[in-house]
Amino acid sequence: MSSIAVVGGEKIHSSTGPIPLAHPESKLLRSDDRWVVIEAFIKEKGITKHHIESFNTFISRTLKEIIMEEPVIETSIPGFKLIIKGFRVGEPQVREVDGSINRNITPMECRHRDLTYAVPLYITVVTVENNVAGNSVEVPVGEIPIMIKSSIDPLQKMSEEELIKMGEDPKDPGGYFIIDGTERIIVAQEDLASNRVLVDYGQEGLNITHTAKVVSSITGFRVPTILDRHKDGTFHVSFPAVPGKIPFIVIMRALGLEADRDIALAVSPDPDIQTELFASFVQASDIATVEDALDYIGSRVAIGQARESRIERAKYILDNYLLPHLGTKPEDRLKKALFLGQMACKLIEFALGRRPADDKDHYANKRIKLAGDMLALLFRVAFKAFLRDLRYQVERAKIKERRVNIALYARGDIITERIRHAMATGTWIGGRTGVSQILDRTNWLSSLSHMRRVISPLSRSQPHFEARDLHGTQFGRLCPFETPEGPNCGLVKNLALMATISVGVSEEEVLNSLYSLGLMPLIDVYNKLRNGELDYETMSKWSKVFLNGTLVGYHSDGEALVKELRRLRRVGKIHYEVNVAHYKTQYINEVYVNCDSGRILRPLFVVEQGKLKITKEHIERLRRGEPFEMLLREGVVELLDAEEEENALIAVNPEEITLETTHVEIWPPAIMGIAASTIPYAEHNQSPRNAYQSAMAKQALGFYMANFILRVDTRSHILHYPQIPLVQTRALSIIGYNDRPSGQNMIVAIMSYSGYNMEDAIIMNKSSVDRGLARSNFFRLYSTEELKYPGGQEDRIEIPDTKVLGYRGKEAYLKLDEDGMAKVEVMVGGGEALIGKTSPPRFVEEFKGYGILAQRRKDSSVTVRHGEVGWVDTVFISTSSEGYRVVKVKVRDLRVPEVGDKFASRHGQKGVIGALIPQYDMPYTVEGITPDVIINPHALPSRMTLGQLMESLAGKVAALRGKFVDGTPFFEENIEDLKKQLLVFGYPLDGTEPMYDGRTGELVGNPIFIGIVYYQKLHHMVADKIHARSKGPVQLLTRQPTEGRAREGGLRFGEMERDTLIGHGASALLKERMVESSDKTIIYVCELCGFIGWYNKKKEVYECPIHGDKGVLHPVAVPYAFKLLIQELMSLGVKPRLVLTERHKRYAS
Amino acid sequence: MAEEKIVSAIKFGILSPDEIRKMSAVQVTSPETYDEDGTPKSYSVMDPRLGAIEPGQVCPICGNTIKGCPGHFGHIELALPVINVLFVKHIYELLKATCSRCSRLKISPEAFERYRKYLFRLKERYPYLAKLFMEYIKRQAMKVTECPYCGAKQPKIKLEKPTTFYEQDPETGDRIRLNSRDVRKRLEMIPNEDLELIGYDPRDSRPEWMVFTVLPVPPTAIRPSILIETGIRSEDDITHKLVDIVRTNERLREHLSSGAPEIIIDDMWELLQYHVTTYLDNEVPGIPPAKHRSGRPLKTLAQRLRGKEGRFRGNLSGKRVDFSARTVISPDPYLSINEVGVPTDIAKILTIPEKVTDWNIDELRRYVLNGPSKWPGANYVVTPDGRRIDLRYVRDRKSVAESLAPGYVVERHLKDGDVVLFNRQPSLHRMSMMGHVVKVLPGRTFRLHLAVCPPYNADFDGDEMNLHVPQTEDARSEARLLLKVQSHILTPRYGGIIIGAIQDYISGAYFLTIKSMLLERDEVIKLLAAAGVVKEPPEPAILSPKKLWTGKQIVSMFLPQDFNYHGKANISSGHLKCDDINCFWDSYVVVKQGKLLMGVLDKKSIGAEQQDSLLYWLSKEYGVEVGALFMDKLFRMFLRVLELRGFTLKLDDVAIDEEGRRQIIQLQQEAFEKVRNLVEQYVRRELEVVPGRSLEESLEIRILEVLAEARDKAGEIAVARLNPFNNAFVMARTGARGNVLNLTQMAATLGQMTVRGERIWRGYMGRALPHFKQNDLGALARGFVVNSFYTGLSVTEMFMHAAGGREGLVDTAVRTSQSGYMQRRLVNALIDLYVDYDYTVRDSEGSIIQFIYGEDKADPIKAPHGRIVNIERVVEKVLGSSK
Repeated sequence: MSSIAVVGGEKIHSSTGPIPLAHPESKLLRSDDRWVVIEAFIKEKGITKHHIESFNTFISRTLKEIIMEEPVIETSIPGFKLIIKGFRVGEPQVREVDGSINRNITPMECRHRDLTYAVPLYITVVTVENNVAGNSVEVPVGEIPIMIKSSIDPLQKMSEEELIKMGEDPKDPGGYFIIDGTERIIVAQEDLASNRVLVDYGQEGLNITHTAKVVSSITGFRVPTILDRHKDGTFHVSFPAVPGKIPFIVIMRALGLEADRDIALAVSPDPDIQTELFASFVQASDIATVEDALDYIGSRVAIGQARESRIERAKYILDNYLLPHLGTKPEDRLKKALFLGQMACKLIEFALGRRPADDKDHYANKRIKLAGDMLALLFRVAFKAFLRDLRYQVERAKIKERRVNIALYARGDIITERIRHAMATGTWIGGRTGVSQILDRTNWLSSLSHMRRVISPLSRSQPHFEARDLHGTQFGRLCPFETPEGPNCGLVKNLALMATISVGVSEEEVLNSLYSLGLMPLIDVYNKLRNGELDYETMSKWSKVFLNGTLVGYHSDGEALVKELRRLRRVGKIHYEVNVAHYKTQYINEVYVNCDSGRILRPLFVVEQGKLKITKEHIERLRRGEPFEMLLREGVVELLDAEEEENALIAVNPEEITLETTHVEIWPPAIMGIAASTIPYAEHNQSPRNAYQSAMAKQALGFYMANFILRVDTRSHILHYPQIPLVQTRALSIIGYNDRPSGQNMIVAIMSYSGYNMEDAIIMNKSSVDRGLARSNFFRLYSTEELKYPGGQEDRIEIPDTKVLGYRGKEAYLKLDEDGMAKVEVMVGGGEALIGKTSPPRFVEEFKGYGILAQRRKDSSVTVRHGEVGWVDTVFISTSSEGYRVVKVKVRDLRVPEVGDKFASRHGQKGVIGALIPQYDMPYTVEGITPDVIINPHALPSRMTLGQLMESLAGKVAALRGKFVDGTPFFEENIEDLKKQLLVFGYPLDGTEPMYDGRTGELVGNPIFIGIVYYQKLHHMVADKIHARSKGPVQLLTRQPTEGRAREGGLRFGEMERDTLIGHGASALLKERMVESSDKTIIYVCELCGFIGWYNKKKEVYECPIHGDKGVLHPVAVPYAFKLLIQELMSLGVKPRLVLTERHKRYAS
Repeated sequence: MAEEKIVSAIKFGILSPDEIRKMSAVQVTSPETYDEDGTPKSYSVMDPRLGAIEPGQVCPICGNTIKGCPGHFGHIELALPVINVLFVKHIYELLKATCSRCSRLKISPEAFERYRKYLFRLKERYPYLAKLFMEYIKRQAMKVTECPYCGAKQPKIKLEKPTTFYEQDPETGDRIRLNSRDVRKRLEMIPNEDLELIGYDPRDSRPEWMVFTVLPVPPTAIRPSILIETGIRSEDDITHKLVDIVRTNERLREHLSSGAPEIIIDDMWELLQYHVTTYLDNEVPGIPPAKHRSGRPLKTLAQRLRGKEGRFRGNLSGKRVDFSARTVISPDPYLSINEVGVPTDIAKILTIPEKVTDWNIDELRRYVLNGPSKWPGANYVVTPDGRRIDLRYVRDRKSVAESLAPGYVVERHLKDGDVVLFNRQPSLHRMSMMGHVVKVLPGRTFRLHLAVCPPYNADFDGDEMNLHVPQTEDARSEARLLLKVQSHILTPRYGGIIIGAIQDYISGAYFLTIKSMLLERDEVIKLLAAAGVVKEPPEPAILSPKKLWTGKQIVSMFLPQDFNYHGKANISSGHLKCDDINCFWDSYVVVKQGKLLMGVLDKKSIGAEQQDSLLYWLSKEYGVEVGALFMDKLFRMFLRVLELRGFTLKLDDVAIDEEGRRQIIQLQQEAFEKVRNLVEQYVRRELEVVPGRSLEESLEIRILEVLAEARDKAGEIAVARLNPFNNAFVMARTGARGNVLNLTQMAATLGQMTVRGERIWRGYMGRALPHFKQNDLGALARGFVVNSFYTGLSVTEMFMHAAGGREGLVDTAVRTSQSGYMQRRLVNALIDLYVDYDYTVRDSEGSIIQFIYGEDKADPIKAPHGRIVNIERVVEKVLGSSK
């Protein structure tokens, strides 16, 4: 690994080794020792900790910032104002209908009663009248949903026993909300980092050659600012508050830099760079003063106003809408000018080829927005709306009376409703959808994986190839495998096991440390430059120092600064979340310090002078229970963001450390996410197979939560005998998979047998199934509310009377008890009522022939879905927040595996059962072992999932030796060793065994590969899919069959299907499908005018709309949709006249 | 009642105000729709005279209930004329083409006559050209700036989207607005003869009708209101829009009669125009779409027709149908290829109407007796007078069964032997939908023969398929004759077979026909039994010490006596390659006089998606039925062979020994050195530049070449070390599954990972991963994977491999959507073309597209390799051997 040459100050290498080994053995660091570190890390940082920490920060820090942002509320009444003194967050509570406040609310109660688990928020307000302060009052401002297991959730402090008592699963990690009884999470959003300047080439075909963009943002407020370099070499700034583009020089002048020299120095002292500004200076030579420049900007926004007000307006806009993250006061203008100058500098450097374009997909340029950030966004808007309303109410009241009681005018529902609506629908401010999602409770793993999901705001309809690629900086941060197939591929990602997200450290603290390390503040440097106390010569060796993307000053020796900062961090003087990076090339010498929130960090072992800093002793201390943070404080492990990782050279194993190495990977398998971590021997599989398994693990049935009996999920499955996989990965236990598994260990033979397992089908042992293999229960929840209507009318839960409108027949209500609800443990089938309910008559609907309005109650019972059967499992009766009675009925159905049910191994090998063969017909081994599953050898070569073969072998060893096998990728038990163990147990070492054909008893010609593989039952079962329709319900408008299995709908004979019939030349079939079996109708068409007429039943004549009974009408069979089309065209003013001809006309040329 | 007719054509025109008034059942004036008690108000848009919509309601106009009443139009008398947006383009053109004063078409009288005569003749012979000519005349007229009749100088007509017209004086540049009334007046004045010259038929479409004075109110049937569960009525978007129109119109009328100021009237008029415009089309560019209270844009008339879910594509070209079923599919090798296994549960729902005759009455009686819940039964009985008896609610089925007589129709359950359409979506070609014969079976899946997986592109990892039951006799016979599976053994794409052996069948056939396969008599009988053949085996190939038969002998029993064939086998490659009969490796297949003399059967001879194969000639020369029978019987035997022999895949099948491993690493090290040399050359700028590429690109290309070669060589080493009867190797060689690349990647090395054809470089500056030094151009740092799946990948290798794999996943996702759209456009462009009896290809109007179909009249399904006659084959057939 030596360099070949130095080109342009950079060394070029072409390494030839060492040959990478998949399973290196390390003497310096045993795999168990490494595991201890990552185990401690995950235990501390947790699976959903990032959400919880983010929410905690929102409650403890952000909330205060937003509320206290503008504590003084000025009113339109002179001398009268309100001042917010403080605020307080209450405890979880619910306001009942009678007005009482229920403080004993638990999450489980919220789930049952369709409530929101939330805390009230109070602010303390003081009225000030003519500088005389009144009493301070605490007013409730609304409710904020709280995150389960966050700092303000009482659950967080409870012991396991207490949690169980409350009906919670003690292992539930939390991190989600309960909104109207449903569990919802706020999915992490990936975003381009704000307050950082990114340079890129201009769009093809435009006048722009290069462009620099920055999204300036403070909590909940984003302003993109763009600096473009045009083809003529001029620079222009654009930001949303001002229409069009403003010449760069003009805006600099408007910000107070009047002299050309000042502007040039603000960009760079480098004469080469300053030269590039020439065209811009020429362009703006007319506008020479600050006033003129302001006027120029003002004339864009305040058209037709006086010069003074234009200037005022321009100042206001520059202060408030230009780069607001640098401040919103007039004195911040110089900062803004210098920032813009730096933008220009970076852009010119880029245009001169001194630096490459910034990579938008590089994770140093990305930030993750978590629940706290998203809530802040929402709360800010809601709170502002609340204050606006409060001010308005108070002003109105003040006019009427002298003294105002603020508590009376604070409308709490504004905030509550806004937040609730956004959380319940997932539509955030700005119209972004899918922000909050219903937590996936298919199984334990799917919930966890859902909470570690990161979604990109890029549209799924465009290709965006680059954004979907796996980027090098995603290593260790995002799972390389776990991404959905289809349109979201590569845009939806999942956090790697060892990734954590920065919470954020105060910028001031970091800045102070920087100053104490000899950082020269930017303003000082700038002033010195202006005064000629400094020149470019001295500065050219200095490093620019950026803090969170903003240039804060210069340092004479960047390398030393970076070194010192890292040293301080490793001894705990600076927070471990602070990252530094030093970029140094021939032209560029920049130090980036980051301490903002939302960076994905990953832990690494620190190497100093070619030696690992971590010692055996550290590991011992971890084993003794010391926290992971100890390692961070002592500087033996570091958290790196993608930016600092630019400076790192990482060795996978301690043995590979050279003098240049800076870090060592802690636990290579932890680059995978939750779902991919379940794959044993993942490094032996083709990568798409791992991606498929990552998707399928989330569809496996299992033991999704320990409190499933109490839960009220709309759909849920429980596997009868879930098993811990015999072939483990280390991640399984730490994720909690081993406590809530979703699959079973099955004896799997790989052989061609009977042909029923071809093309991915599998053969399953009928006898095993009879003994309970892969059996599961399906639960569906039906629920209804007993509503009360205005006017004293109300719903009644009862056995409906036979006279009720829409009575379903006596048989439908047989299963109901006297209270109108189904009896427990009674078998119910499709169409039978579970909850008998009648509703009061509403007008309009009863339109009985002679115009008499029948006042009958209407049946509104809840019935079992069409095509489903089951046993009534549980009936829950509770009260909704409006005080109505809520009845929820859980129906259970037994699902025994049958032909057509879908199964999958942990290697992306899915297939449906093709045949269930009884044990006596299954092949058996010498010992009489019959496989549970037979898969086809042809399923393997093209998929290259050798992991499955290895798992099979390892599973066999595990079963024989009575001890799990560790199949963790890279650290697995040696496969050759396992083979030898097999030999010791008296089996052939290649995993094969001679087998006998179960039907004939004859020996099969060749030994068969047989072992134990963990199989998952996926929630796609034929029982839920089989669907047939002869004739049935039709849509009102088109009279075509309805859509969907649940509605007994017809299948779609679409355009492509039509094309196949045309291809076959089958006209009669085409007509049969499109007319006879769909929406055939007879219409009467007038031969004279071609319009649709009708048969007058009263007069018993045919009538035409134009000619009346003089029309000549013929019946014509057409699709109803055609008749509809004709009428729609007529509504458009188009006259489609139908020309008729005989039905059986002879073919004429 | 008059005789039933069919629609032969639709003549389009524009509704005239007179027609609208004439067909109107009610003049709508009331903006309120319902009374307090919920009855629809008369003279409102929900007037009962617009048609019956509630079940049980009788229409006051025609006396029908909801079923028979087609709905009746009403009308709104507009207070002021309003432009119909759909015709704005035409109005614009007409205004431009006619004089602003006298409204004559601006064509000089002489030219007018000339054009008229010319057009008359053109219409006779070249209707398509006539259209173009009329368009030309219109364009001519639009260019004229001075009226040839009244001599008026013509102002410029400007259209401000969507519906506002201005007149601009060409000299002063003043703009005068033309309101709808003015526009209508001008259009009214255009004489009929002038209109005919530019393609209007004034009887059906007078241009002034493009400006509404009366608006037709569609019947309630096309805008039904929906009742939500809570009992609240929710109206259709069109009804909402109509109410808006009526309300605005009435207010405008009031203003007019009360003599309100012009500005108010104009505002109101504008609003009415907006409402009518959005009522017709809510996606007109230039105006904000009308929105629902919730902010959702309204779906008005044009939106109902347009787009994927619109009337044309959603309800006419494709629609939901009755008598259809869908479920998961699973394999069944014991079915015939043209059968489909239908679950009893589905067979009991899907029915076929069968007319009672003297010959089937007993059988149908039995079905009626069985009733709807016992298969085979019946669900309905239809009496000759059209009454439908629902057998679910019949207590005494016996009497119904007794009452059956010829003329009755029994809707009986699906039973064995019925023909149905079977379909897997996406239906990309016509073999995606074929006619299958029903076989009712227990279970809940559709069962199909494995040989038909390729045409459907089906596998059994959870795929679902659709089934349609044709209800009419002619449809069924079409399904039986045109769509049957056997007719599609050959694909029209390239004339090869698309239905053939896959997976187990190929492996099985291979093992049966290899030279070492010698069978004893009981084994032979077992195999024949599996094929369902009861026949004495031929003379054994080996008589002593035991009677032994070769597998080839057994296969020969199923070949026609006079069948000849020769061709290469799939295994004929690499060192097993044979090009003619003199083949040592048994990789050249020869059939003479119905005897398989040499060569093994594998993918090339009997596999699906193969051209010019044994199965192909068999089906072609002896009929597809013979081919189908061959597959039905012999294929089962192949499975049995595999069961007897035992076929598996073990881990060691892809393991290579230490020596092999060492050689591969050695090879790779050499390749790395080569890469290093290349980089050195590149740094010294001595590298040979590939034409048209930069130095950097050339380096990459050269490196990729070197590394690809290394991988291939490693593969060769690995393959050479594998046992030829190694299971994985057998599958790859015979074409049953996998290929040599798969073997290479499993046993030797994965080779270079690429993203968009480049080595992996995206990531950190100058390197993809922080585990490598910056600017490392070597193989390992840029995604060369040394390891194989057997040895396992290192972390960095796994990441690089995942990056390459991700690209594949993204590609598939993006490609499917794009190719789907492409297919739709192609199909729609070609759908009307047909080959006429004179071998010309014509479009729907009869115009010739191609003079001879395919330039050679060859039907690919019948012509092997595009040739109409394969002379060699004919010679071989006649002489029994080639040449």
